[in-house]
Amino acid sequence: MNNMRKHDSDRLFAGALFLFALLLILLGLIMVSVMISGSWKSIAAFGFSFLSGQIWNPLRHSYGALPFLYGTFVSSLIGLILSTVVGVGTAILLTQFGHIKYVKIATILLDALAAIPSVVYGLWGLFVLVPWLRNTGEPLLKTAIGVIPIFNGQVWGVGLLAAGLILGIMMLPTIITVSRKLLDNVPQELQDGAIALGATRTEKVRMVVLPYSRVGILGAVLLSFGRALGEAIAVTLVIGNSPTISTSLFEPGDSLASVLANQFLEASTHLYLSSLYEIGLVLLIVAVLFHTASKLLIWRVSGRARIL
Amino acid sequence: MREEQFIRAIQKRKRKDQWYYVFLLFMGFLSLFPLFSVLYYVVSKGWFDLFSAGFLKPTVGTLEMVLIAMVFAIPLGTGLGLYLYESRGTRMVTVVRYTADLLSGIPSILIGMAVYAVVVISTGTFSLFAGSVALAVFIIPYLGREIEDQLIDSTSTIKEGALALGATNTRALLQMVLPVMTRPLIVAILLSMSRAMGETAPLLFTTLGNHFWPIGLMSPASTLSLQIYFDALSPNSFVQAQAWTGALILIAFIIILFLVAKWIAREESK
Amino acid sequence: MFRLYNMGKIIFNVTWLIIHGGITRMLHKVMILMILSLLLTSCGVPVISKQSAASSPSQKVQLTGTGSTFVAPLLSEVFSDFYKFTSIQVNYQAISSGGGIGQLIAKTVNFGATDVPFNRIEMQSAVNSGGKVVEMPITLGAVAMVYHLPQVHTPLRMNGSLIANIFLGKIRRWNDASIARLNPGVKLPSLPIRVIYRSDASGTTYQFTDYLNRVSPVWKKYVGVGKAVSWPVGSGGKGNAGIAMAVRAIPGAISYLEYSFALSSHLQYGELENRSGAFIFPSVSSIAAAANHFQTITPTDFSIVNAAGVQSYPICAYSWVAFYRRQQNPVVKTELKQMLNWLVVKGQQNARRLGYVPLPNRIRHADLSLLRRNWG
Repeated sequence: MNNMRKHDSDRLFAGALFLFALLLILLGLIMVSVMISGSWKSIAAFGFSFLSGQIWNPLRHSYGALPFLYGTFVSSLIGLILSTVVGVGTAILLTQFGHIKYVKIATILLDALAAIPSVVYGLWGLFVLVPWLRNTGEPLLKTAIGVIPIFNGQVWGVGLLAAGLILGIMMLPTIITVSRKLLDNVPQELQDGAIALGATRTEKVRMVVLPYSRVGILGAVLLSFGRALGEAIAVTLVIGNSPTISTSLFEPGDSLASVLANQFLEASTHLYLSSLYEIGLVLLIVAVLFHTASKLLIWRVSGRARIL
Repeated sequence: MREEQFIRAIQKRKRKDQWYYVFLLFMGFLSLFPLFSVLYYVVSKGWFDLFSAGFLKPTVGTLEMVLIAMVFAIPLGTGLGLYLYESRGTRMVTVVRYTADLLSGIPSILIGMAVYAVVVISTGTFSLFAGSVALAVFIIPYLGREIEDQLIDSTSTIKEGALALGATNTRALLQMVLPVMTRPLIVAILLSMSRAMGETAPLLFTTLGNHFWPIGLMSPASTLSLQIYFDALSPNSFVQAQAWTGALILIAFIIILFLVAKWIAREESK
Repeated sequence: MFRLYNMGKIIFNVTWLIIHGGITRMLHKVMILMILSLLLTSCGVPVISKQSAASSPSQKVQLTGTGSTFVAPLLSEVFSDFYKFTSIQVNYQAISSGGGIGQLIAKTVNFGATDVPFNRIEMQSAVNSGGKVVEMPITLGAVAMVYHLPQVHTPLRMNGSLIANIFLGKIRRWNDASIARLNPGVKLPSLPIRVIYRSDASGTTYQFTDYLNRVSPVWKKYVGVGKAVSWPVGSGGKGNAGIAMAVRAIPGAISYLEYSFALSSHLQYGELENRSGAFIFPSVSSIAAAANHFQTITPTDFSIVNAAGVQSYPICAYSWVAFYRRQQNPVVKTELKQMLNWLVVKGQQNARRLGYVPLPNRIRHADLSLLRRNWG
């Protein structure tokens, strides 16, 4: 009798909890179905040419998403490269070289870096970073390595490079946090072994620590890349909002998320609105792909889905 | 002779080590530099009209919206967290956990679009309520995962003890585990509030902004983040300066929430 | 029966646990605080949905409108006066003209403001969504050619083909011969020209491209006219405000901007050659002069660019508000009517000071009779 009661109450409770899980799944399904049903018209009208179309001109009913895909990936890639070098470097500094006291302070500061809202980064980007890029940064790059086509072209200030820099800054906290956890997880015996064999700290990091956590760091990088792809507000403020594909990183571009931020409320025809939903759908798919890939990688090394 | 070579080689490696250290220090500096620069500009440009009335409406709007979002998010997020913790190991929970991770990682502007399509269109108006729903959707998966992590990290022994003493699973969870969890839960809630507070993208299509006080839940409202975004896009340098003030207020709120959370977490660890 | 009793006991037990569990006590406090704040939010003014407002006609509602940034400075002044006199709140959010039309079709706002009347497809969608749409002109404005040349202090002269060539990317430097020819004696820098355009669906873009379309066959062939076109060169800015900011920030920039924004942002703007070959600044009188050459305007025949007359500025336009004739909520209808009346009568007094042109009397009368015809 007592046994049965125990069983039933647990089952009731589990059932109640399951409702919450269902609700979450429902949210996910609503999200997907809104995007799909919204973009139905556009999918029917353009098919796959939507993704390869280079011209976005609502007036002529020509909706091609390629400039946005290009801008999204290029700006995120710039951010990725910068934040990987800086972020992993910082993580190594904190885990392998840092004194406890400084590490504590740095941790608080990095938490603060993560807590600054994207709109504030956008504001800073627009009024501090962009003027600096226009007056100093980009002309300097142009004279120094202007032979490379991506660092040549008209200097605007706003553009892919500005967006990439902002994204890089926004990606930093994730990369640092995850890399630190991964580096901390490197078995002490391995590290001690390297030191005992006479390796310097640098050699230890290069030959033992980094190889051990490489896959996980790749996962962290992919994770933050996936997030950067979808950043709307900060990017909109600095990317220049021009749906063009240009080799130069100085030139203005546009991204999937920022075209949504700019145009979603303005679509005055069904096809226009539908195309924007399809942009949303593309963004959703891209985000899901990168998220899944990064989770799989982190899983593989840590055995637990969440290291963040 | 040989020995000399050997020493030289070691010195070379040591120098390399030193350079590497300098390089890493520079990287560390680079990752903190934006923070200081942002804070410097926000404070130095923002404090001028800190006490003007211009930001009263957006500030209250932000607080209202986040609080209403928490009314939805706390029960749902806690329920989700408990589910994830309770059903560990089942196949269903993997799916749910994956969905939660996914939803907390997808671009927040998509949440704005979905809430626009579902709530704004069907109620026929942009509203404080729609904004709160968007923020709640943004928070719930994050909060759920956070709570699950807290539960896993700190309480399995307590629960096992309770179970060993013959308590039902439910009773063990509600009476033994959750009371211990009060502080970590509140910390998780505060952190997710601070996360929601700074969001702009989910609100852009749902609350629109308002020059007046919102009339009830079903009317448009302004928030700090939206106000910063609109002000930043203004041609008027006076209005642009206001954006910095908005940023200062917003960051101040986030820092306060953050500090309170840290303080609570510290109290617990004593 | 016994099982039922058992279930009841279980439910009782779980409820008891939830009420007495330590955490829930804590959570309760948080929840109570939140519910209190929720109540405070809505205590002065009860939660209004459209239905509940309809049942209590004495209750004021807040009107919401979205749309053109072109009229935003005017509307924000007019609505702030309107609030002082009638205590009716009109929340106007400037997104862009496309935003006015799109959100009216989506029925998320009470009115939309647009610099270009609905086109056929838009009108069809709107009619399907909420029935007959009434459009009425509310003000007159102009598009100024703004630029940023730090060393040049005399206003530049431009004409249609020059502007078209700049925006087509054919003229790339400020010291180009074709600019110099129109501006003898002006020392032009060899800066590259940075074209900036509106990235959103905008009525200002429509008027600007409408003008270029009429003066440049090349433009007509390759770009055309619309609220958003596919720009051959340049970078986008969001809203009139975004344009003003970009131009101010970038030396060598050129763009088109609603006249009142050009005034309020203190940007340089040029003189434009009109059909009679005279170079004219945008001003209240030159805009009015252009408008006087068009006796009537309708939502289908609304363009007043490239007007005849020596005094006329060539890129002028009316700006419109649109709303559904059928209003379910009588309060909204009354307030909307009051607002529109105010807008075309009292509101016109604000226009001149802000760089807009008051509606000509004949247009104003046409508006009022349009309102009477539709809403009695």
